Amino acid sequence: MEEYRSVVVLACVVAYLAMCVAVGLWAMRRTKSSQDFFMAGRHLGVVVASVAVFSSTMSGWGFVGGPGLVYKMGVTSFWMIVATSIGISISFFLLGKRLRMMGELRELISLPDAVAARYGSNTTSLLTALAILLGVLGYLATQILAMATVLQSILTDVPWIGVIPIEACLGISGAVLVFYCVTGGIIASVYTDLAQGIIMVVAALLVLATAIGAVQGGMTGMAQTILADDPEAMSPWGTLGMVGCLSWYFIFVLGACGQPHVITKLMMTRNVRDARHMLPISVIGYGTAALLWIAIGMAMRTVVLQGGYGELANADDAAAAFLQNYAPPLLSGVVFAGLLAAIMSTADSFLNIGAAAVVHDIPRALRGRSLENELAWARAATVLIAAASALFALYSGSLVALLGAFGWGTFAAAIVPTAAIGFNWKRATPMACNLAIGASLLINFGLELFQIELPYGFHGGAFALLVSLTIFYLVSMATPQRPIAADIEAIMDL
Amino acid sequence: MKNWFAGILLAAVWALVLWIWLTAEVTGGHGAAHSRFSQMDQGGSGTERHGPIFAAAWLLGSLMIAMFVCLLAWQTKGGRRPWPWFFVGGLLYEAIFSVMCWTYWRSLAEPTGTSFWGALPAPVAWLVYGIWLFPGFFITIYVARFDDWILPEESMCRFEAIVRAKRES
Repeated sequence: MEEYRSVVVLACVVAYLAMCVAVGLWAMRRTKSSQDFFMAGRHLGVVVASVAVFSSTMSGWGFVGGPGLVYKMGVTSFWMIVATSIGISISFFLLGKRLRMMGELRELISLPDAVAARYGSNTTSLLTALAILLGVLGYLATQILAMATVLQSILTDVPWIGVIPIEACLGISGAVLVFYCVTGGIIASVYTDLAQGIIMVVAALLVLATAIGAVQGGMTGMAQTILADDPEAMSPWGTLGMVGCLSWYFIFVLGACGQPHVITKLMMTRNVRDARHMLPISVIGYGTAALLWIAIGMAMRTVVLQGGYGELANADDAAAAFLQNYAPPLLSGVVFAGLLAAIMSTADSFLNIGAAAVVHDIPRALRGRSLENELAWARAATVLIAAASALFALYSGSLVALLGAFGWGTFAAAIVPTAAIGFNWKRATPMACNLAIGASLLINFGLELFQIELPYGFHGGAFALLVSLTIFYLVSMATPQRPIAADIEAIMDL
Repeated sequence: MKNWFAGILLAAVWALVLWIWLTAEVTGGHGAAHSRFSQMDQGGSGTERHGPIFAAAWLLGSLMIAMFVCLLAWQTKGGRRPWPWFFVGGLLYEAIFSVMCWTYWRSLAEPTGTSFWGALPAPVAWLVYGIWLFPGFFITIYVARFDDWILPEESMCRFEAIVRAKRES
């Protein structure tokens, strides 16, 4: 079977892409309004919504950058995974019930909608939508580029296909993504997320077993080899050190409540009580999928240290090198499909919230009402945002990496105070939100643009979040409390 | 959560961050290129890079955990009844973090001689099996006491009444 490895991988990936198209066609018949397109008609079941939450959280970065980071920094990268169990829990404790109730009461279809309802301020809603749009463009561009790069490497390995230009690969993968996002909106997105989440979990468990078998002594052997080479890499802080890891812990725990593509899904369930069972499913799903990240990273660092494999040209090659050399062809195919799944499950959510920002949130904030025929505009906006992101990915050079890197931190610093805290704290004021969002954008962009490194490897996003939380708290305490709409205030008391 | 309490938590985080930042960092204190492999980093001496800031960093981590547990408990219903559970959960979470820091500190004397639990060196085992998995305690509270502390029946009825009233108006 080894001689057919590239064909097996291609077959798995083609089957996966065909499944996405089929789901898009199926979901098209169920998408009749903008409520369906953005909120899945608030009809999602527990399992679908839970898997959508964790598969949107685990982006393609987790499958490529994650193992690369373990390879490069040792245990440091574990903190990003460790943070999610408590981070997702905080999201549910603070927002699970609240967002779902506000969504049903006001028939909201986006996070900026909820912000407008809570604060009664178009400016705050507009700033939230702009922060989302900016983050979406950068994040989406990196996801689309990653999708094309993965497809290119798969196609190039097939002897009878040869080298395909990156533009063509971007066209193929982008067309599939846009097709199911345009036809089925968020319904197609969450049902493909379901399949994508299952693929990720299966791939992660198989990879863990393969990685343990690939190194003599299994997991203990890996830990002993890394420890003997550099004890700090196999300490709880990895190579980054104690303060850097704690700053990661801070941003990845609290940041989980500020990812709009994830928390928006809390509004889509059939029943408010569904949150009860969604939390454990989401946390267990994410934790299981993340085993791939740990297993590949540790296995590759070990085999390179032992001399069983040559030095990697780039740490991000860890996953591909492992799959090519240690995984059986069928597992390789499943994991490559899982990799595309991880990328697309995040990208489709971004496309949806980006379209909502363009056709719903920004017009409402500026004109006080939505566009006529919002569903048609939403479909057009989905195509335009995907096209803009694709062009941005291909032709903007280092700006893509800049915006991509600043995605999580920006969302966290801009949205955690406004949503996670403000939806539960009546003292929060629109002015505090506006200043916190502005400061978060300024600091995140400034740190990335000027390549400013904080002492002890402190995460820039963590610093931005700390500043935005402080501004939010101080300004809220210093400015007069604004009246809250009676129905929203009643919900905040529940 | 009382307003002043949130302010104290934030101020304490800032104080610890500034304490750490104002302490001189050793060269390569947050990782340096590996001596043989250009795409790998190495951490160097744990004693040298963590010695001057170990206490402050331990306090910072403990404070973050306290903040996270307060956020979890903040919006629970049922008066003060949930508090002992979150207090005990918070203490256990803090204890796990502290033991992880302590085992790490002890391992610095002889890093390669550290004991292994569950295929990992003891300090990393505390991170993976402790810090990662312990939030299961709070998740269990969420699931088991959802009808009492998260969304009691009376809150649900009140919500349905609010929705009805809104639609009728």
